[in-house]
Amino acid sequence: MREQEADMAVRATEIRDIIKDQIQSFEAGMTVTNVGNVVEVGDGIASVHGLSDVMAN
Amino acid sequence: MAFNLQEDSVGVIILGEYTGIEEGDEVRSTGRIAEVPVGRALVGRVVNALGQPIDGKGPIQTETFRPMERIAPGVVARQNVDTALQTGIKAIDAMIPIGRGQRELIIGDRQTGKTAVAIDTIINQKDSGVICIYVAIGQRQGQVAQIVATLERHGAMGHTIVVAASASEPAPLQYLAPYSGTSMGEEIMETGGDALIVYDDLSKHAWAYRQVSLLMRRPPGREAYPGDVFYLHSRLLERSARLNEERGGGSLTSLPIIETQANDVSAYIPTNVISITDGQIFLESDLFYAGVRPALNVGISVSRVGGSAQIRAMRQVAGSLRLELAQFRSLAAFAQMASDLDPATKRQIDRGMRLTEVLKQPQYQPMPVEEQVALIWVATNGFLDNIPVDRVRSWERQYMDYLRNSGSGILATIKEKRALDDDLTALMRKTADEFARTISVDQLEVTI
Repeated sequence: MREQEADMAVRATEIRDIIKDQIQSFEAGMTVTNVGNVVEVGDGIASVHGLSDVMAN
Repeated sequence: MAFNLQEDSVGVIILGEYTGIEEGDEVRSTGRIAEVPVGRALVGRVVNALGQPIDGKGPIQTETFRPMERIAPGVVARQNVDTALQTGIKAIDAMIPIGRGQRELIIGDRQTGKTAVAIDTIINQKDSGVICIYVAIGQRQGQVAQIVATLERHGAMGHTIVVAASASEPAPLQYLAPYSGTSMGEEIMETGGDALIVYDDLSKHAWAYRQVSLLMRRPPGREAYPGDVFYLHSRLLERSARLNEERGGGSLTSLPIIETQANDVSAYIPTNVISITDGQIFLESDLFYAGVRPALNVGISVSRVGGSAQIRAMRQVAGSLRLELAQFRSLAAFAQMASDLDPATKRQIDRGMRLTEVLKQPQYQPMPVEEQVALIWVATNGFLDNIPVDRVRSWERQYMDYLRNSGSGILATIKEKRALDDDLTALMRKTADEFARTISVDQLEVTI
């Protein structure tokens, strides 16, 4: 019983490491996507507002 | 696909199912421009404008993609057209020769056999190693299915890709189909192969583009086409080329088709495409109904670069053919009142009528170039002058059988030497004389 308690003991450094790790990986996983909204649609053609960085074909 | 870029919005072409899209939906950009799958895996398949299979034969295994739109090869990459693309059609190969890398327009009213000329050319590429791409724009689905079945029946699907954007598909896809097909052809060309692309037809392509442009609120110009219809076709047809040896020596030949209304070649789109291409094949309904098939008007059809691609033997016989037909045309008006003509004129008219007869050819029966040379040689050297006009075609059939089976080796020699010399013409004369002795006019069928 005593031994088990010693294992379960919460270590501050461990918690800090985990949180730090998560913050770092969260920042690394961020990507930029261009998002716009459909303003008008019909006949196979749509007009989109807010899309930046588009190249005309 | 982005089509219009404006200050505060982007005009987008939807390349798929669009009925589920609503106002306010979120749009993301892929950061890439429109691409199609390319490569030899597409050969034998029927695909849509985006390169997706529509023939039910499963997915296409290819890792190579190319942008749909691309700037044409530059001056440095190109070389003169110097190899013939045999259509197997006598009148075209002799008088309006097409070279690999050339753009030859096929123009005529509806029901004059424009598609037939293109399909015959595709069928004739069976053993030439040329990969063919048939782009159907705005046609009826049934018609596309029929063309695929015809190609299959004549064993031509083995070297053909069909790109279909039929009338039931949205205009943006009809507008894109020729560009996708061209990208597939460019892949063949740039890997050193020879490709042939048929655009059937560019009038409907211009209509589809007009629709898209008007919906995008681009200002309408003449006949309501937008200002850049000329560029629409010129940038497409400029992508056909004959590459030089350093770039593999491949070629992309194109046969655009234009349908005229009531023979009006001075309408907007026909004049544009005539000025872009390297020549045109005019088909006329009057000739078609008079039984001249293919209904080629040889007087106004031209090929501006193909002459240098012809084999020498063909050039030798075609010169006199063209001349005699031209003389015949200028005299043909007199043929109606044949009573008081001087003998020279009468002879010229008789010869012209027989030559016209020789140039007729049934559909789906392409003829190898050596047989064409042998036939045109006998026709222009007077061996047909004593045969009644209505029996010329039967005579032709029997003479070609005779040449193939007589063992004289004429056809093989023409094929090998590619030119006519004195020995060969003497042999041809002897063989034709021999044949004339074996056959009497009564044995020939009347074919008109």
